[in-house]
Amino acid sequence: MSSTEIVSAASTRRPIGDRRRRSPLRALGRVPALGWVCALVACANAVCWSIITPPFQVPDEPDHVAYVKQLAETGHVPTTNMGSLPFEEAIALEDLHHTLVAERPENQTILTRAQEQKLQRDLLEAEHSPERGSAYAGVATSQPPLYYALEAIPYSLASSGTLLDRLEAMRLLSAVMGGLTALFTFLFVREALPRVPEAWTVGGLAVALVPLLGFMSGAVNPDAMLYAVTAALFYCLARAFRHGLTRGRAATLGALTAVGLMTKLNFIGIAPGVLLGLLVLGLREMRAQGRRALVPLGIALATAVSPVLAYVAVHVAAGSPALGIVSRGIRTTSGSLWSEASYIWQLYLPALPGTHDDFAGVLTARQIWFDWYVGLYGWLDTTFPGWVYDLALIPAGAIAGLCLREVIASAPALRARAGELVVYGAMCAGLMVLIGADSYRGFPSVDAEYGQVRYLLPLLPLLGVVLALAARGAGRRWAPIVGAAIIMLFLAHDVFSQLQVVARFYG
Amino acid sequence: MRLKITLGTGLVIGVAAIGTTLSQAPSTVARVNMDAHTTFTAVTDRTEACQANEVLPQGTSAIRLRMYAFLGPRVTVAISSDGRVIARGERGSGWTGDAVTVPVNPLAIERSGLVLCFALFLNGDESVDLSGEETAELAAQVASGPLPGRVRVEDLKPGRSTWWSLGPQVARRMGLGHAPSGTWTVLLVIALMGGVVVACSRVILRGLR
Repeated sequence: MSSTEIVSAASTRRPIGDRRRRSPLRALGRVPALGWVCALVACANAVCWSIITPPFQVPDEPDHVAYVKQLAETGHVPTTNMGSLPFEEAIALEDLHHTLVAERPENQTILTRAQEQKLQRDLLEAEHSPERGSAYAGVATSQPPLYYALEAIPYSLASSGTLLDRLEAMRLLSAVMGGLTALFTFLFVREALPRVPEAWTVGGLAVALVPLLGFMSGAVNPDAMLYAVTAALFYCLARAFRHGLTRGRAATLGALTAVGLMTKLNFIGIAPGVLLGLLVLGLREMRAQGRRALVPLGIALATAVSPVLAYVAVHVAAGSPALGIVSRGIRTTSGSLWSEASYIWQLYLPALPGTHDDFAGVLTARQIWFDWYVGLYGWLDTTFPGWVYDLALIPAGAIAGLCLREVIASAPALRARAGELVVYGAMCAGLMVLIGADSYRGFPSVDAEYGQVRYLLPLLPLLGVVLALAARGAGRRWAPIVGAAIIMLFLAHDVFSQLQVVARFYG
Repeated sequence: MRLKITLGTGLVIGVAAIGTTLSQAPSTVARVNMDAHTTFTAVTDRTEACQANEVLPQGTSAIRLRMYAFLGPRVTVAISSDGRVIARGERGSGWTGDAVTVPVNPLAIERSGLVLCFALFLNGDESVDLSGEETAELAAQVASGPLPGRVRVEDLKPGRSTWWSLGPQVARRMGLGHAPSGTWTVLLVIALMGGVVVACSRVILRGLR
């Protein structure tokens, strides 16, 4: 991509005053067929992951299922993180030998017909239990309810089956969310690099094949929805930067922010970046339109914070802590602010001179973020042989180099979009700081409790752009070849990741 | 044309890699030094421990030590017979879970009466929980004296059956403990991934021109 192509992204903004109304359905109709292919590929991939991953062998899935069960069967959200899981789920976990299999890669899931028959018999009996849901949902208890409320739909639709039938139905909804993540990534890359259609394909399709996206979207976990919502936000922000902040776009951005806040607490790390984006867009409009531009900004901000205000108001009115059950999750940290800042820095980058080395002997960027992106599945118990992680450095280095080459070549044009880039940077930084701050609470007894790549997957749309830039960095002549190679690399990574999971659980 | 060549080459390499992988035999546990599996102590500093009376079966390609860490330190293993090191291995930092697998050079014959020494390169921040058997007899020894127990050690070596020959068994197991259940789900996964490969190939040929 040349500088002029990037400039064109900024200059296609329509003149102020041109605010043609477009319905969301019509906008969907204009999505290129390739975008839908990306969505279908991601969805099919996640469905495969949902079948090959044994029930409850995804981090925290038992707790998330308990949340949905409570909501679907009683209409109430869980209220305690002390207690036990519902009887029906506890039976399933016992018959599936969950405690023996999770985190113990030498143990496989059930292996015989007799074990299967016992499982089915016990599940049928458990269905007749008078117990309905459970106020306990473990680590999921403090999470907001939107994802679980949506999952209550497939849960109820499959209520005639056993718990495992309902689990698979819920996993399928997550798979659809995986498809939406790929679709919005495709659309985001299209907005970011509008004159380079091949780039949309490379970014969208490669992200659709990211194994960790398939793994998490093939499970019951609000992360699946968080990825989709954040990808939609990236797309809408890019669109607003390119075409202006209309009332419709402002309302959409506000609504998506509200949805994000109601999906998973991790969104708190992304929200400041989105609000910064709204402010930058609002100020830009004000320069052109004066105070009239404050209206869309007000709409966006009011919509975005409304669920938080409603949540606080309900709890204050009931005389409970303003943040309800979430208050229990917000514990104060020990140690100084400087120590915490240093820890957060080192969670991603090497220690700075003069600071205590919190991760001595560990290169966190490589060993936590890169290696665990390459392959760490199940309850963090399924890995590739060591040499695979070393080998993966070669294509990763090549992609990084080509991307850097393209960024340097386009530097003058990128400066014209500095505001937009700062906003994306703020979204990244906010999420990374949140992960670091949460991990610091468990430090030093656990080095990096939340140092898991799945928490960074809301930033997948940016990976899509990086891959698209890498393909373009190879030059006009080689860009299609490198783009094809990137897609095939991600496809191979996905297939071998699935085989590794099959070998671990059924081999 | 160049795209077709790239795609064809990629698919051939992919199929060959899968074929080669499935032609290998998965690791099996050749020997375990105890039945117990309980945490008996936690260490936070650099630790070098040795435990006697170990056995190393012929062909052992890796040793799995039972210890838990979220972000494990570098681990080295040395196995000695009469004071002479006969096998050694190393695993870099960054492992996670309740076991660390250290590859070692295989022996031509089974050896017994060995001393297994392992070193954990901790820096004093995170701890590593050692698992095995809480015992005074044959406890692992560190410089300051005995530890309160002995670490569980599992010796791994390549099995006799390749993944190809284990295919039907793996497929049967994949159909258990799931909904939907049955071996046909394996065919569904293969069909779906086949569709994904076809879709990607078509997109590459049409979308990247």
